[in-house]
Amino acid sequence: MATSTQVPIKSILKSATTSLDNQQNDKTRAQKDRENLTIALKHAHLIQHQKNLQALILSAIETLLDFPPLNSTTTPTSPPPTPPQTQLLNLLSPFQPSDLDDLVTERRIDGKCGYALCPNPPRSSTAPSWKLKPNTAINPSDYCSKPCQFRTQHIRDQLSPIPAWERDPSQPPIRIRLLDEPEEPTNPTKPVATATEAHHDGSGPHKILAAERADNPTSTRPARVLSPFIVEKAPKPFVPKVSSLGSAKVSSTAIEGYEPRRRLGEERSSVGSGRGGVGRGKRKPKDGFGKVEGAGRDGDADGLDDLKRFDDVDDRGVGAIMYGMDGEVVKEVWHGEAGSSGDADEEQEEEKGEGQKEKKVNDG
Amino acid sequence: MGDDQRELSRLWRILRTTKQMCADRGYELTDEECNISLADFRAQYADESGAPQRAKMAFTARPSDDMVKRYTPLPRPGQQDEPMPLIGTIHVEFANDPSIGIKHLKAFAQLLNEKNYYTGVFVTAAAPTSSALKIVPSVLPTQIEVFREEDLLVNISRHELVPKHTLLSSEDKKRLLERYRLKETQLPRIRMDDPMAKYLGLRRGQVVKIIRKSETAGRYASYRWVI
Repeated sequence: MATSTQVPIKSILKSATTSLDNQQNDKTRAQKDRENLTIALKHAHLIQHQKNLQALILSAIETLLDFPPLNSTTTPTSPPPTPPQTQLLNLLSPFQPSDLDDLVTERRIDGKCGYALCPNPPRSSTAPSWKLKPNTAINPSDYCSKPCQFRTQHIRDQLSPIPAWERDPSQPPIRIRLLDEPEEPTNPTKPVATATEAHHDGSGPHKILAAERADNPTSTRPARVLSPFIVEKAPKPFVPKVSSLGSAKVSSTAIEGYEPRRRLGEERSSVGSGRGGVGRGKRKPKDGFGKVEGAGRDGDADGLDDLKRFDDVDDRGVGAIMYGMDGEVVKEVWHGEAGSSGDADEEQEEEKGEGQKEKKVNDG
Repeated sequence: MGDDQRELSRLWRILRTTKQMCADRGYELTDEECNISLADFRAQYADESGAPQRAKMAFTARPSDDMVKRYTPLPRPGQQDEPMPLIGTIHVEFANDPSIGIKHLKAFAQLLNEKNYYTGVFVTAAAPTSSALKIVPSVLPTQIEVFREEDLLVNISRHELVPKHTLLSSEDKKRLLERYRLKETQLPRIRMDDPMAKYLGLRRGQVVKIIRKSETAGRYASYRWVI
């Protein structure tokens, strides 16, 4: 009988989670929920912001439909009202160009000139209906006159195409400027005349606008679009950047501790650098080289040989004797044995001094 | 003369469709009103010269009891008093202006507000401007529906390819969701700007029952959630 072999049955089901696990799960879930809530709220706020701004734009269009406000209603006791120009600019600040187009259309339907500060009826109210209408954003028959059209165009060109709810709040809003003009065109015949004049002599608002934008939209000829005037960039002398670390003597342009001299107008600079190279060769035998490789001599044929020669050294150590052009000994440099190879900086300074000296000799 | 006749018969069709639409939604309109003959229309709405008068065509209708019941929401758990039905009198106006702007719709909304109409239907000859259409959500809870005249020349619900749409009451909707153990988001959807949804004046969140003919099953019902 198989009575003795009683093994506890192992369940294939998942073991019940302990209370500790449950707590942890709850915690993580709560945290996740909180994160999701934050994200959802953020997006909800963004959408609400957009809706608020759209409502603001709509109410601005409604207000501007009744522009310009009548001045007769003001009483002497009330504070002076803000000028309609300022009101207009304030209302226009969240607009996109398309919103301005909507405003112009609404004003046309309402029987007013498309320019918000003009109380006259638009041309379309009197124009014959068979006239061709240009399929552009700016329709001349929406306005009472050319100046009004230009003023609206001027405002439209300044409006940002970015929707108001996507604009960067840290950026200052674009300050819209009206086309400067001293007075409101109360007489509709007069501005038309000035507009035609201005159009003919080329000093119209278009030109001012073009000047502001630094282009010339009225001209189509390439000669006027492309100016032949070329501005050359003034050549700047090369100034090696000095390292910001004041204490360190090695600047950022230094190569292995050596500062290449490339100053313009100095004939001797190439020589100096050549010699510097030699100097390096000279310094190399710290580790017991008896001879100096005259890098300047056998390496390049740049006329260094005329200027100086490097002689081999004797038992005193490493050294060189330099000769000027006329055979005069310019400088003898002797280094001691292994111990005398001091700081690289010291040597460099020494070299600089040499260069000046040598130059003096040559000049003289 | 010919132009007037054409215009007259056109407006006759538009008015007939509009009234049928209101009757289909559940407003109280008689069959005679909905299927007015052209001769009667001419006698009622044309002036002396034979030209139709759009201003005369405006009408108002009250919802039927059945419709009121259908639009009454379920009471909330803690709610004591009976919930108010979300429906009321409908007012229909026809506009003949060459272009419809913000001002026209604002004036219409104001009229609805003054006369205390729940829903307004504005039938326009020309397309309203985009900013005028933005007025519609801004005047809630007054509901404005804007229709173009050419959309109402033919009653689309009578077309043979259009299945029957019926709006479910909130109680029916609850029963449906319980029966199939669904959340409303799990239903198929229908857009609010769907022609049939516009015809029935459906609102977001409602469920519409669509009964189609089926070769195998005879009739086949599906449900759609309005978004």
